[in-house]
Amino acid sequence: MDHALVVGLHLLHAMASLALVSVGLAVIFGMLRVINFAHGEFLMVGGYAFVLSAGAGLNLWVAMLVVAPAAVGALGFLVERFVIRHLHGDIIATILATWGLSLFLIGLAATVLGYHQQGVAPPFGTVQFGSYSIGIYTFFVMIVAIVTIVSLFVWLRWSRSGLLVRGAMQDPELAAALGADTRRLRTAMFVLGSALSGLAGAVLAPLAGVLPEIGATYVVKAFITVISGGATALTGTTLAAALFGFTSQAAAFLSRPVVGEVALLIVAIVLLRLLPTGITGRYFRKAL
Amino acid sequence: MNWVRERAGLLAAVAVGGTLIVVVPVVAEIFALFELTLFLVLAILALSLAWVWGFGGILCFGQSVFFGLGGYTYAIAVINMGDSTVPLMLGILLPALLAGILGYFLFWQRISDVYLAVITLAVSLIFYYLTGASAGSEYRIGNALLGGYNGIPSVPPINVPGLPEHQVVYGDLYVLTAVMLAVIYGGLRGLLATDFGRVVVAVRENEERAQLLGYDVRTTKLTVFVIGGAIAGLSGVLFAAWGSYVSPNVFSMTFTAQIIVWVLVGGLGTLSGAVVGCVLVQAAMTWLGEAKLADTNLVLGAAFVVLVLFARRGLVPGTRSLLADLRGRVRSAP
Amino acid sequence: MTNPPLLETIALTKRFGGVTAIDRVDFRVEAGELRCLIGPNGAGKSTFFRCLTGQLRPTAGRVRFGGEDITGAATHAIARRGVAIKAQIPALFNGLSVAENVRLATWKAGGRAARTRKTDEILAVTGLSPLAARLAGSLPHGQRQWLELGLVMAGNPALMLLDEPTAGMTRQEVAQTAELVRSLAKERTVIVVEHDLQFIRMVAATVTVFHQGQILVEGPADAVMADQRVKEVYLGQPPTPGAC
Repeated sequence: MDHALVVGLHLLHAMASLALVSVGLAVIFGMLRVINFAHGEFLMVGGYAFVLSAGAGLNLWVAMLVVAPAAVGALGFLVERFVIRHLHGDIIATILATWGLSLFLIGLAATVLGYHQQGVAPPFGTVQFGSYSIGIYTFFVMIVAIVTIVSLFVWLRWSRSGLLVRGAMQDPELAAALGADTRRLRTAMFVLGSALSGLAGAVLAPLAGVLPEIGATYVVKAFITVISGGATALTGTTLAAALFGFTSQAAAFLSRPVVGEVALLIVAIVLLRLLPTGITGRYFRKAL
Repeated sequence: MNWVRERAGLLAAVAVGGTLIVVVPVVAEIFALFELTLFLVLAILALSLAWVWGFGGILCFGQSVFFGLGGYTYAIAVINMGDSTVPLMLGILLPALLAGILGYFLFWQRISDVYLAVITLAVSLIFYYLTGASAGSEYRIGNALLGGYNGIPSVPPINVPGLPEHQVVYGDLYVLTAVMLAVIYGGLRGLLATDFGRVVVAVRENEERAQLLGYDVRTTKLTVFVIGGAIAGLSGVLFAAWGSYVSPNVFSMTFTAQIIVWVLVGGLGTLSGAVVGCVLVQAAMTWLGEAKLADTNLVLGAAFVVLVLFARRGLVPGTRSLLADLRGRVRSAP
Repeated sequence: MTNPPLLETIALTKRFGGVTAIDRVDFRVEAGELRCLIGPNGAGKSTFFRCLTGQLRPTAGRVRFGGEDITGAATHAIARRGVAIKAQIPALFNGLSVAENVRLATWKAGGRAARTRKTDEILAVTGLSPLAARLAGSLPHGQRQWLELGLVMAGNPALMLLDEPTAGMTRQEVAQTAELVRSLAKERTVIVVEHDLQFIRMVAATVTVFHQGQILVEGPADAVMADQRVKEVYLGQPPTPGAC
C-alpha cells in the first residue's frame, strides 16, 4: 500500500516537472511559433539566478519565485528585441540564431561560474510513508506546476488581455487591423514564456542542481512535449506532459532510468506517427 | 573563354580538390594532416545533410544517427573480423537500411517539417541513451565491448582489402578520405544533373505540383534519404577508423546541431557550401580550443548570432552574389 | 454496348468538419467532351476538382475514370493514369527554370531526346521560348498562367482540368486561351472552371452549374444562361443563407 502511494507520487512528480519544463516553450513555440533552441539555457539561467541570489543571502522564496523569473524575463526581452524580432519568422535563421544563443549562454556561464555543479538543498525535509520516505519539496513542485498552468489557463480564457492574446495568435493581421499592437504583444508573450522558463529552472534546481550544460537535458523533452501537444498549446502541452511523464517514470520503475528516457522518446515518435498534428490537432480542438 | 566562365565553379572545385589530395600530404606535418583528415571526414557528413536537407527538402535533425551507426557498426565488425573490407560495407549498408525503415515510417504519412525534425532528433537521442547505458561486460557483441559512455577504444584502422597488415593510416587515410569526399561531391553533382536529380529538386520546390505531374513524392524522398544515410554511414566509418574510437557522443544533441550549423554556415542549397562551412567551423573550434583565449562555446555562439543577423544566406551563396555584383560593377564601369 | 463515360462521379461528397463542400454530386463527362463548370464563389468547384485529382480524399461516393474506380487513390497514381490539373493559383517549381519546369512534365514523351523535343515544342506553343532560362518564380502572373498550362499540356493527359485559366488575363489573352482550349479539346477531354461568360460562349461548351455543393443545371451554354434559377443564383435572389 505504501509502495503504491510512493510510486503514484513519483509518477505525479514526473508529470509535473515535465509540464514545468515545457510550459515556457508552450508559450514561445506553441503560441508564437518561435523555435527557441536556447530554451534549455533559459532554464539554466533561471537555475543560476536562484542559486546565486539565494547563496548571497536573499530569502529562498524571493530568489526562486521572483528573482529567477524576473532575470530570465529580462533576458527574454533582450533576446526578442535584439535577435528574434529581426529574423521576421524565418525558421532556419531562428534555429541557427537561437542555437548560437544557446552556445553563447553555456559559454558565458562556464566562463563566469565554471563547469561544475552548484545547488541548494531542497527545503522542507522529508515525510515517511511506512518504510518509504519522500521529499516534501516534491509536493511543492506539483503545486507550482498546477498553479502555473491553471492561472495561465484562467488568464487566457477569462481575461480581456487573454482574449486579446488569443485573437492575435489566431490571426495577427486581423488583430492588428482591429487596433492591437501585435508587435508589443509578441514581445510581452516572449517575456512571459521566458519568465516561466526561469521559474521552472529555479523550481527544479534544488532537485537537479545547476551546471552550464544542464539545458541539453531539458530542451529536447520540452520540444517533444509541446509538439506532441499540437495546435492548442496549453492544453496540449499539459496532456502530453502527463502522458510522457507517466510513461517515462513508469518505465523507469519497471526497469531503470535510461529505459524511461527511451520510452518517452518512443511513445512520442509513435504518437506523432498516429496523430501527425499532435494530441490537440485531433481532439480537444476547442480548448486553449 | 566562355566555356571556362560557365564552368568556373567546377574548375575551381577540381583545382582545389587536386591540390588538397596531391600537394597537402607532401607538405603538411603529421599532426596537421591528422587534423585535416578529420575535417574532411566530417565534410562528408556535412555533404550528406546538404543533400538530404538542401536538395531533398527533408529537415533531418538526426543525420548523426547514420553517422554514429556507421561508426559503431564498423567498430564492432572490424574488432570481430580483423579485415576491414566487410565492416566498411556494413558501415554503409546498415545506416542505409535504417534510413530506409525510418524513411518509410516518415514519408508514407504526411508529416510536417517540424515533426520530422523532432522525430529524427528523438531517434538520435534514443541511440545516445542506449549506447550510453551499455557499460559493463554483459554488453558485448562478439569480441567488442560496447563500453557505455566510454565508448569502444582500439578500433583497428582500415586496411587494403584482403591484406590486414597493410593499414591505411596517416597520409594514406588522408588521401583515401579526400578521394572519397571528391567522389561523393562529384557523384551528387552528377546525380543532380540527371532527370532524377531534377525530380528531387522539384519535390523540394513544390511537392503537390510534383505529385500532380505523376511523380511519387514518397519514393523520391525515400531514395534521397537512403542515399544520405549511406553517405553519413561512410563518414562514420572513416571517423571510427581515424580516431580508432567511437563513443555515444556521436549521437549527442550537440553533435547533431553542429552538422546543421555546418550546412547553414556554408549556405543551404549548395554542396560546396557544406564542405566549406564544415571545415571553417571545425577549424575555428579547434583553434579556439587550443588558443584558450576564451570559451569556445562563447565565441562560437556569438559568431552564429551575428552571422544570422548580418549574413543570413550563408557563406557560399553570399560570396557568389557578392562576386556577381562586383563583376557587374566592373563591366558597367566605363 | 456503349463505352463507359471517361469520368463519372457517383454521389461524391466532401465535408470539412460541419461544412459540406460537395453534396452527393453525380457527374459524367464523355471522352472528347469540352465542359465548363460555373457557379458562384464557394459553390464547391475547386473542391470538386481536388477530389478528382486525389488531392482531397472524398468523404463518401466514388470517382471512376476510364471505367475504373480511382476513389482515394494517390495523387501521383491518378496523374499517371492521365488526369492533369491547372490550379486556380499557378503551382510551379519556383526555384527551377522555365525550361526545367516543362521538362519535368514531359516524362511520358520517352527518352532524353524525345523529352527535349517535347519541351521545346511546349515552350513554343506557350510563347515562353525566350524566357526558357528564367526562374519560374520570377515570372509575372500572366506568364505563370501560361507556364502552368504548358506543364499540363506536356503530359498529354486524357483529361485536363483547368481551374480559372483566364483569371487576370486581358481580353485578347482570354481570346487566345479560348482558342488554345478549343484546340486542346480536339484530342482529349477538358473540364474548365470559368467565370468569364465571354470565354464560355467562345468555347461553346456544355455548361454545368454548381450551387452550394450540388449540380443546379446542366445543358448547352445559351439555355443555361437563360435559366431562371441560374440568374437567381448569380444575382443572389433570393439571398442564400450562410453566404458571406
